[in-house]
Amino acid sequence: MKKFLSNHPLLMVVALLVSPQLWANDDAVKRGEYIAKLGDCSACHTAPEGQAYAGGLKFATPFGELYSTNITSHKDKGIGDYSLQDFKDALREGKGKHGRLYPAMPFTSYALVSDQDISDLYAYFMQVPAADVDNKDNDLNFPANFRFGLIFWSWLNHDPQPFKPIANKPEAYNRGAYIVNGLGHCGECHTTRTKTFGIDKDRIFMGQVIDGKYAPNITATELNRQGWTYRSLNDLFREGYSSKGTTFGGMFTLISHSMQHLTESDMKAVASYLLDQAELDVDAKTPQAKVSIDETSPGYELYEAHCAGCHGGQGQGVPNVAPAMVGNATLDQNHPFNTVAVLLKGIEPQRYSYVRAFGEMPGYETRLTDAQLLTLVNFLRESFTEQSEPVTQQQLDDIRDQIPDNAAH
Amino acid sequence: MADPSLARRDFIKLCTIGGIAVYSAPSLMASQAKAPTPKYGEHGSPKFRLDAVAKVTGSKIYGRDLRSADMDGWPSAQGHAYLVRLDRVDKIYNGLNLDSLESNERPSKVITASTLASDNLGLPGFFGANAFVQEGTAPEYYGHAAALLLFDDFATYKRAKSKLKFADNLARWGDSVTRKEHDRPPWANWRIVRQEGAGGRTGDDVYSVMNNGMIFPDIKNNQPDWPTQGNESGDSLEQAIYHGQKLRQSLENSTDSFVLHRQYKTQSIEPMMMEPEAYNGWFDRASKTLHIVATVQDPQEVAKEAAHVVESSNLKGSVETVVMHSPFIGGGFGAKDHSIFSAYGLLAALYAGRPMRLANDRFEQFQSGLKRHPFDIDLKLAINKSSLKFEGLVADIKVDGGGRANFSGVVTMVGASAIQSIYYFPRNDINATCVASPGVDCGSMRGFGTLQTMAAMEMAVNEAADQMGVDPFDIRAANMMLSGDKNTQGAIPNMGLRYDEMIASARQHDKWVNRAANKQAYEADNPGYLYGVGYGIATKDYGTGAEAPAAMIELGRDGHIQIRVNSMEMGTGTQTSQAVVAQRYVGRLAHDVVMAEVDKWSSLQQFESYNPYFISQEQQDEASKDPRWTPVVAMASSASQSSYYQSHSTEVAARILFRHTLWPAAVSIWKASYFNSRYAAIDFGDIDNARWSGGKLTANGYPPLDLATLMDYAYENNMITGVMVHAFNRWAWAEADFAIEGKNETHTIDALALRQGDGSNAGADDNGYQLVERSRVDYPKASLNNAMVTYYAPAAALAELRVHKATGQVEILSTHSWLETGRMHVRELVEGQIEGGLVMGIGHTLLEYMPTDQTGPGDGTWNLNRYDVPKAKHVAVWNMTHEILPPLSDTDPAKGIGEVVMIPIVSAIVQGLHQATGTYFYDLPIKPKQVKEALS
Amino acid sequence: MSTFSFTLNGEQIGPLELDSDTAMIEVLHEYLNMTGTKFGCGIGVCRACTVIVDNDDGTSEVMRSCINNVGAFNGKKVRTVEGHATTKASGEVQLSPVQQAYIEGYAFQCGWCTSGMVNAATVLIEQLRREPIKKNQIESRIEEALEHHICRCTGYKKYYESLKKLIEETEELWT
Repeated sequence: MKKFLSNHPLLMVVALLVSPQLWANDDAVKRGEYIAKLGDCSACHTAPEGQAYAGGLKFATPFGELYSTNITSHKDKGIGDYSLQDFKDALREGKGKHGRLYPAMPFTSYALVSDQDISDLYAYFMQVPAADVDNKDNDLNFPANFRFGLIFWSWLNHDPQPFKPIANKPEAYNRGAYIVNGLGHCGECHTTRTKTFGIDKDRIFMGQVIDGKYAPNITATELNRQGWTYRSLNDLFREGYSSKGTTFGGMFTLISHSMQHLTESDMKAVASYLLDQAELDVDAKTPQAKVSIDETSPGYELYEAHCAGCHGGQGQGVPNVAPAMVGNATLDQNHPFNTVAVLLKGIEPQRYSYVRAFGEMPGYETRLTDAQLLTLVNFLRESFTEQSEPVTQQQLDDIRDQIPDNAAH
Repeated sequence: MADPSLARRDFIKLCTIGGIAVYSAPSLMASQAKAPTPKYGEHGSPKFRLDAVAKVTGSKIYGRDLRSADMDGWPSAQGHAYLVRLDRVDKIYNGLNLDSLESNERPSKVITASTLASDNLGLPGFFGANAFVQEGTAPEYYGHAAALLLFDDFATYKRAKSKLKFADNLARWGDSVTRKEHDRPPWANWRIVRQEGAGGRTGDDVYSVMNNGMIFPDIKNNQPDWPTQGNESGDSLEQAIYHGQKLRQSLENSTDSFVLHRQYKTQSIEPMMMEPEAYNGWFDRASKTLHIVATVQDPQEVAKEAAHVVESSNLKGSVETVVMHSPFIGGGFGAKDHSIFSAYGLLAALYAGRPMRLANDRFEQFQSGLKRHPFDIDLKLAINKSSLKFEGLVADIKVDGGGRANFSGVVTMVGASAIQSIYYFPRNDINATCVASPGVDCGSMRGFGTLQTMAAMEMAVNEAADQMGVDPFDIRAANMMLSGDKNTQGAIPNMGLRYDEMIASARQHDKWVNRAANKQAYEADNPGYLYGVGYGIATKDYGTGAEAPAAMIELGRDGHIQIRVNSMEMGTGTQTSQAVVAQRYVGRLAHDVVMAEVDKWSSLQQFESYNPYFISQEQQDEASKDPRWTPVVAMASSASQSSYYQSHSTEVAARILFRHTLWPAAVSIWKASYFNSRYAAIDFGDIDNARWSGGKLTANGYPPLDLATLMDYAYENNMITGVMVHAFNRWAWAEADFAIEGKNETHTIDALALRQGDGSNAGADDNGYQLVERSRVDYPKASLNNAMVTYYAPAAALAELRVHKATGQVEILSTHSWLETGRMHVRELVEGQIEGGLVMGIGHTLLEYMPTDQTGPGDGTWNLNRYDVPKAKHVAVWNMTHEILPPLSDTDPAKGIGEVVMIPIVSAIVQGLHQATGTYFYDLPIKPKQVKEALS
Repeated sequence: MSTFSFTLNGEQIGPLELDSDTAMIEVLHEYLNMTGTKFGCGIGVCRACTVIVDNDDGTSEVMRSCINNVGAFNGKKVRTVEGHATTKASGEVQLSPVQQAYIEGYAFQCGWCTSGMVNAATVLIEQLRREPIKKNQIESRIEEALEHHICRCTGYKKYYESLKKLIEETEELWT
């Protein structure tokens, strides 16, 4: 229906004369608003001081600096002149009306999004108040500064296919797969990129370093090994706080803008897919995690001095204030990246809601020497995780090199 | 006493309760905070606070700072107590599980409900029953205490607390219980009805609670059961119902008036004084003496309650003396007034064989400290469409008092009586009930109910004006109370009302006048934001209707001025302002102001015998025949009371000293030294010609005399060198006659004692004072209790703000406040109150929030990471301005102002948000989520 | 139990035998009876417990004594609010410039946040002494230094303004 309406030449004329709100279907707009949240469109398309969806957020990419664009209903500066088909092409194929989109726009994931969802999303964006904000010029290096080069990128990396449910899996599981792989575009961060910066299809969800943090391995195998359950995932996605720890970096904003708004059934669907539980066990309890603290180790002394004040003498944490080290999923990542990065740079204060917020975690870059940092990291891993390989100075240096100087998480 | 040097005379008896003498120790702050006397600054005020140096150097002046080693005569070993509080109310509690404690973690004593039962010990009556949850029952509220664990030293305490604090298995839980709403009777019910008479606003009322008496409902199914049938000529209750119902009906089908009907909600607020509560007690069994150091606003009460608790238990006889030490407190905001915390500190001390310290950490303070009452207000405001006059006010108010009745009754009453704000209503029916709930108990937090209701009224006025298409200032001008108007209770406020000046100033403020143009310009320059300006005005009643400030002033032979008062210093600067109050009579700032004095008042030999709020006129008439009787011996302290009430006593004392000593001494010296008195009589003129100049007294051109000269003369001639007074105020001051040096004089006090010379005269008591018995006293009538409140101080605020459209975040850009303070003692202190009050109001409106259910602070995991109090970035710290109305004359009294500034900013922000977004908000705090939803 | 030593306001403290999870503020309060450093939240948010650590390179920094246990101060030079003022031979107390500015500006009321505010401002002044700023940066540097400090009485204004006045009147702090 919407498709018909928006493409009908006569109605298009009417649409130009009256404000888009007047012909937008309320239900479609409402659904579209939810989809915009699932897709976390605002995370990239709203700048911190800017207007909603007016773009202007800067991305540092290996090619140079990119700015997100105005996707409000503004006719000239936004996407108000897009037809549904234009919108669909942009979302699924990266074909913008005014040229190819840079792959910072996750159109490889959005290709999976259904026609219905796209048309609802379209209805929503056509009524987002027009922001009279010009798109910023990108500052890219040759050859990426030529948009036509992106055709080749697309040709290499993008193969738009509609979402295909897995036949022997229940509907909820498939709904989860659809959200996680499509709108949720989780793989964009959690999957290693190839040399042309496309998603490495052999390493889906196996984690990668992005913006000075490690988007961890979220394969079902790894999540289950770490002891994630429906409840802990739900807690994390709703409030950024769970028995398995807290979030930081991009995941913090993602939860605030997007994941905490998931409906209960969608949350279950997502968990069912992520945990690979065809029948989701909603009552599963977090398994008892390892604690084996050697109080004679030099790391213990450092832990007691610098960490125990918040995270507890036995790593038990302080409820609703500081996450436990026991069972902490960040510590228990095979890659020590985040443990090291967080210790170096700390975590900024986070507020998820009026009842859920965290103070900052201090960074220890200047307070601890490299030797102390390594001793501490290895103590944490030995005491609270199954990761047995010690972290080396080389790893520490490599990680430090990958963290922007001014980064806090 | 363990230390024989602590002779009995060091502690002066306050009162005797069931054979237990309650004493106050020499004030700690006098001995510990040796601050240099401030020099004069601008405006003739001190260059800094009297307590400034002690505070800025980290001196030990606060209750929480003091350990046994700091206390003269105490053994040095300090024990530490851990109060275990429970975090759920939905299960039967079956006792504690301390099995996890190793040998170096175990308490030396565990006190539970059964310990108390066997000793017949309990809480002071004010707090109700069940200090600890009894095994086999469910906790009554979140944070209900289960046990006190006493430890001999800090290390053991710390180890145990670290292990137990957040442990899941600390309590053994049994079967589930269901909690229903109204499972206990309400804490309080009030109904305030008034019907103006044919003579209009200045004539006699047809009905008012002031004239006809207060009314109360029956309680049915734990809920108030007001009669539905009124009777115009029935008893007070029936008449009230008659007029109330008539008003309600008239609002239903009125055509001439516009009726705004709205629901306003406020949240539970944590006072968040920076110093968490602490108590250090030592029960010295050998000398049967109980010593207390506590972070309380009401030390006298705490000492007396301790004696009561012991006296009515099996421990009776084991305590003969209670000694109360009263330190400075690190913020109180009402939450350290009648806090149950002291009752647990007392229990810890009674069972410990050594000094025992109980100190809340911040989680515990959130879990158990007194909260601000949340109000749900259903408000109907009727406005005449042509005259814009208010025609009637109907309000149904539901207050959540939490798990224990604290000051819920009076807070509900004061809140209900404040809903009229600055406006006059010819008719009102205000129905307020305060329910018991499983939430953390609420107390007399700053605002005392008025923040909640007055802000709602102001929001209603702004919205009504908007809907009627009229200027809100026209509505205000048409309805503000005028001097002589009656309040909703039918009582007449005691001072000239100057709302007109405040309103006139605000409507000319350029940010208000140019708000539309500014909005357009701002939003053009900042397309991501919406801009708005809002205004609010409020007037805060202050006082409790039973104020009893005592003060004394003593001048040394060298001119050293010492003042002692019974108020606490909570940070508002009471101490400093008392030094200034006396200045006009003694010529310079006092050298020393001792706060929270308890001991000296024994010279007044006063006693009390009735609850001052419920005393009958006959009882009062009869009792007041005894010249030593007073309605209230000593008063609890709160910030806003001190400046008006305490200053009154200090000023009277200083005035008497001036008239009887400084002036006559000066005249004598002038006569003797500078005039040939032997040859001619000389008129030195009226005492009113006396002037202080540069700390010296002069009159009619006679040589200025300094204090040392005057006092040397006074000591030499055995004149009065110290004056001690006690006053009483029930919405008016008690007045009494005293024969001073043979002359009969009337003063607005009810007790007086004088010191002559060095205080060694025959007849002088241990303090060096001699009581001057009053020959006549006139106490305010008992029926003035029905007035509920009559003292008001007004404030107004303008807020300029912006809303980030994408997130709904609200940011204050600037504020401007107006305040009418009467006469100001110290400008900087008043400014500090304005700024602090404003910021607390911003927190109330935009930031601070806690649920009252099992996810709220009663669960013991709340702290400042989640509870968002205003920080500098939230309050436009560089753009905070104010103006203070000059006093009508220098005889204006100083008004209580601490709380009032908090109130108008609420409705100013709400109206600013309306200008920005086009939406009115009714639920506080206004969260970005609500704002964002309003924008989409 | 472990052994800890540090200097406190120039005085050598220790070696002290303490449980290693003893917070620095607990050492100050319960073992040294130095209570000028105030306990506010205990989780590092309110900054009432801020103390100063003097580094060997001549720089100074603020540290929270509630979330950092004593081990984090082992071997360090620590300054608390009790260490700023000096007493002259005459017995008169000589306050530090920050302390003097705060009392003359009526900056605080109840005084519980004062020691943290004094220490944070002192570190700021010491930073500016080493690296003066532009005059137009004064406000923003004050904001940075004090932004996390919670005060419940004052509305912050007199703290901010008295510190601003002090910096403006101390010309070597800015260019």
